[in-house]
Amino acid sequence: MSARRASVSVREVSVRYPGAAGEAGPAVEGVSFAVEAGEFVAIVGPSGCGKSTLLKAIAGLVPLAAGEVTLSGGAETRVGFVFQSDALLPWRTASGNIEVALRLSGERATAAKGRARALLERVGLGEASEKFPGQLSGGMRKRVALARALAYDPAVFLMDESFTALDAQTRIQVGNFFLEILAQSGQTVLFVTHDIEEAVTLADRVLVMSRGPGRIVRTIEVGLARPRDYYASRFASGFKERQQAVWDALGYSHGGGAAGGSGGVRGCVMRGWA
Amino acid sequence: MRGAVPRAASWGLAALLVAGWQAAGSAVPGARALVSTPVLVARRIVEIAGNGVLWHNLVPTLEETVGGLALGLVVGVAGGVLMARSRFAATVLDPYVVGINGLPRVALGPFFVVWFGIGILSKVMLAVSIVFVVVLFNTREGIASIDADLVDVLRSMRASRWQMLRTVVLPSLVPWLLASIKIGIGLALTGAVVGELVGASAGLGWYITNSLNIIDMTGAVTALLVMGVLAMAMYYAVLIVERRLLAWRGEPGAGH
Ligand SMILES: Nc1ncnc2c1ncn2[C@@H]1O[C@H](COP(=O)(O)OP(=O)(O)OP(=O)(O)O)[C@@H](O)[C@H]1O
Ligand SMILES: [Mg+2]
Repeated sequence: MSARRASVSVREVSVRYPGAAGEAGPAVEGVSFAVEAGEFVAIVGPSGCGKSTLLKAIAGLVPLAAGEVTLSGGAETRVGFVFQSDALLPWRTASGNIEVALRLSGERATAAKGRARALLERVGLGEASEKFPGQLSGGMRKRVALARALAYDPAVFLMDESFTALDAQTRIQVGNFFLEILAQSGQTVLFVTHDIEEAVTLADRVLVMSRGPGRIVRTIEVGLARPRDYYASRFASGFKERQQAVWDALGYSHGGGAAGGSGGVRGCVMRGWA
Repeated sequence: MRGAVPRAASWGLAALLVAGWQAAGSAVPGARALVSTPVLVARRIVEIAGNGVLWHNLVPTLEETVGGLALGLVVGVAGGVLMARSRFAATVLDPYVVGINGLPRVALGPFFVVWFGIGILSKVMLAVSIVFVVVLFNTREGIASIDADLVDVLRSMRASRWQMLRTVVLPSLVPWLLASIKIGIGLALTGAVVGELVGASAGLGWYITNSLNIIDMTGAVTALLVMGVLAMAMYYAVLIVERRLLAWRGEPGAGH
């Protein structure tokens, strides 16, 4: 079960998607940062600024136009990617989806069934294990996707708005379950979210990205004590200050508007490949 | 709409049509020679089922249809995969596929009989020529519409080519293949029967030509009816398989 630990290093990474008329604008440009083994880094930024693209670049799913991504465990390092769309196989049951990840992680078919069921119970979906994704709610599907990433037993989690569709109570329950696993096995996490409170609650560090092309404009050290609690940590002393620092970086402090003040997120430049 | 009432209405309509046919065929003077009657056709079916003539002509048509459909699927899927995977192949072959698709392929019937003989092969080839284009288009479309995120999930977990094929690609293509088969049944039967009309020594198409040559309308109509039943039986067999393979979709309108 215990995952090997791995750090992530991103150096001057740019990603361009092929454009409509051969013209390609960068979705992500010149992004550099490093994540230590066992560190939890949150990424926030406006919609379309390239957060999902950055995670895909780290997972090696999109070609890099420039730069380099290194995972310290080498090419063998396992990455658990929770996609923004839940990306479940519609023709497999919840349990079947998790069994796919278990089999790919080297588990025997005979053991996979029971393990899948146990994982689903941990995310509160024991009852739903034989249902197809089409029969589950959005929040349930997100939890299946999370359980699938856990099943793969990765050293690095890449999570794209993984808790977004959950109701407040389930979110606390699943959030704490996830924190518990991290405390046990010390995986590295890159966590994209639009919820700044959530980012500060979970992360050691928050990276703030600017709108297209995505760049990292600010890094906020959270530095709150661990272990954290998905609910209670919001009331720790110093929480509000960190939260405000993130809002500031997004450009919301000066006069209350997102005007892109000094150091804030630059105004939206729409790129012409829609 | 899978209730008992619409189903009963469907049978009722069939009964009405048969009754109307019987009335027309027996009441209107001279009509019997043009359309026969249900009673005569039923008697004929019992007769040829008993003396073996039915099976002697049904089996070749069935073989040609199934053979043409199966081979058409193989050629169509192979071509579709090739053209979806290779831009080079797509660019080279596209005009040919479009050309063949536009060609009225029943016109190939006489050529195929000359080239492949009056046996089963010419009919299978004609069926293939009609079926494979539809399968090819469906396969290309199916591959193009595979959910990129599903491919990425499997890639992020380092799935092998084979695992990718088995877990994502093939299941994504199943609905498209089933749709191809359902359309293909009618097309393959058309190919088989046209081939038989052009030149054959057995088969339902041959039975029609032969009956009309001896002014036996009942025989011709009987063969036509058997073809319809054959096509329906094959279609419903596919539907049963489809319901099992696509159970994850649930009843239309129930989920999503
Ligand atoms: N497959 C693709 N092909 C072309 N352009 C793409 C593709 N995926 C994303 N983009 C473009 O790249 C940019 C960044 O997209 P990305 O999905 O990374 O944004 P995001 O920060 O995750 O946004 P959100 O918060 O809304 O999820 C956008 O302008 C988007 O239009
Ligand atoms: Mg995104």
